[in-house]
Amino acid sequence: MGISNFFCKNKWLYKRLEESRVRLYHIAYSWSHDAAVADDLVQESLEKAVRNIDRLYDHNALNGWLYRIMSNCWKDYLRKQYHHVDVPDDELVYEGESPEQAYELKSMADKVQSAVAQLPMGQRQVITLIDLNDASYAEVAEALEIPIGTVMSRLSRARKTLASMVIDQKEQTSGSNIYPLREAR
Amino acid sequence: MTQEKDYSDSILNAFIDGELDDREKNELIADMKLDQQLKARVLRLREIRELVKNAYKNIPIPDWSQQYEYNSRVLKINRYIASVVLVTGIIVGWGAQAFFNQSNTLLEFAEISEQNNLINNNGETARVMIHVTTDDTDRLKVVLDETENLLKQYEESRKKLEISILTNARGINFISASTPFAGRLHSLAARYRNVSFKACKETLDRFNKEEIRNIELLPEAQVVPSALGEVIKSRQKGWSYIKI
Repeated sequence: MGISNFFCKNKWLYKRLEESRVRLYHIAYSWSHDAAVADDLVQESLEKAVRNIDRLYDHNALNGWLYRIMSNCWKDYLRKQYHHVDVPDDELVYEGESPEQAYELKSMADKVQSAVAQLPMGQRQVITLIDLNDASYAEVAEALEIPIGTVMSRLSRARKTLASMVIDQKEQTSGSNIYPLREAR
Repeated sequence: MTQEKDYSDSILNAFIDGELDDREKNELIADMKLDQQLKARVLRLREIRELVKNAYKNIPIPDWSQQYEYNSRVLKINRYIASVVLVTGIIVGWGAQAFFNQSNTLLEFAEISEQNNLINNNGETARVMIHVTTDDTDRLKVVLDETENLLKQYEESRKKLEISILTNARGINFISASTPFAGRLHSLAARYRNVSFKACKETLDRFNKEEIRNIELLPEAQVVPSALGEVIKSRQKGWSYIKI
């Protein structure tokens, strides 16, 4: 049964990898908000997963393992793109459209995506893994290599910011134009 | 008046994300009944969670059908595995072959699997309870695929089979009116009389008490007093039991 288990496991894993593609794309898109970047990120992550599949000892941990691979690919991408950016979370200036312009976007989904895109990267990764993929806090902590306490605090800050940007948008329009943007960590 | 506890946002987030243990959860639910502000905070966080979840649902997905090297790489590896499996099958004989022939994905997912008479050759009815406690759509899809396969196989071979899909906790969503599988569940129930869908009343009551979610079930679903009671009863009657 040992041999059959081995092959059956791999067959199951490849099937799961293929099935994870769309889910990973959602996550990649929510991190980058760029279809081409998200596509590359998914492609690179799956290739790495295929190359290293023998290193996955607990096949029930596949999702967490994939998130971790994708998070590392994303870090590499950010390092290449924004290697010069190393500014604390709260001091980054949003360089794109103003919040007022952003809220002109058509649908609520656009508004939420726009708000998520303005979260610091650490918070964006945590909230999207949890909200889009129902990942547990422990899975997120492992994937991003941060303590669970940090997962919880980033999630709290992210949801608080989103609530004020999306739900309380009317009050928000008179606020500051300083928003966090990108952080390569 | 209530003795208001100072719940941090982190605790409230943990509550809506299902990360609290039962005791903490129950305490918070009790406090929410007495404290409208607390309840409003929870609802606001839940609203944000739903907004984020829905915001990315309809993003256009690229067409991956042909362009990637990854596909061919996986295909090559799968072909390699398939050929090795074939050779292995010849070497180790029909035992291993039989293992591959059986569809075991459901069992890969199973947290607990106790099979009594899933494969019956003596004309008796095979009875299988699939206990669903998750709303992970990947797993639910497998549950549905394999249930359909099993029903079809038994129908074709004219063997008797009875499947009971029991849901509680988050698994209730599987047979709720908002399930993404409503169409498939309708047709499954319409085509086969030997499959039933059951929802735990205790879970439904709990959701209703929280006053956060009122679960409306599919018309095919039956409500049973308690999932645990149902499991015990079915085990006593010799049903095979698979928990997902």
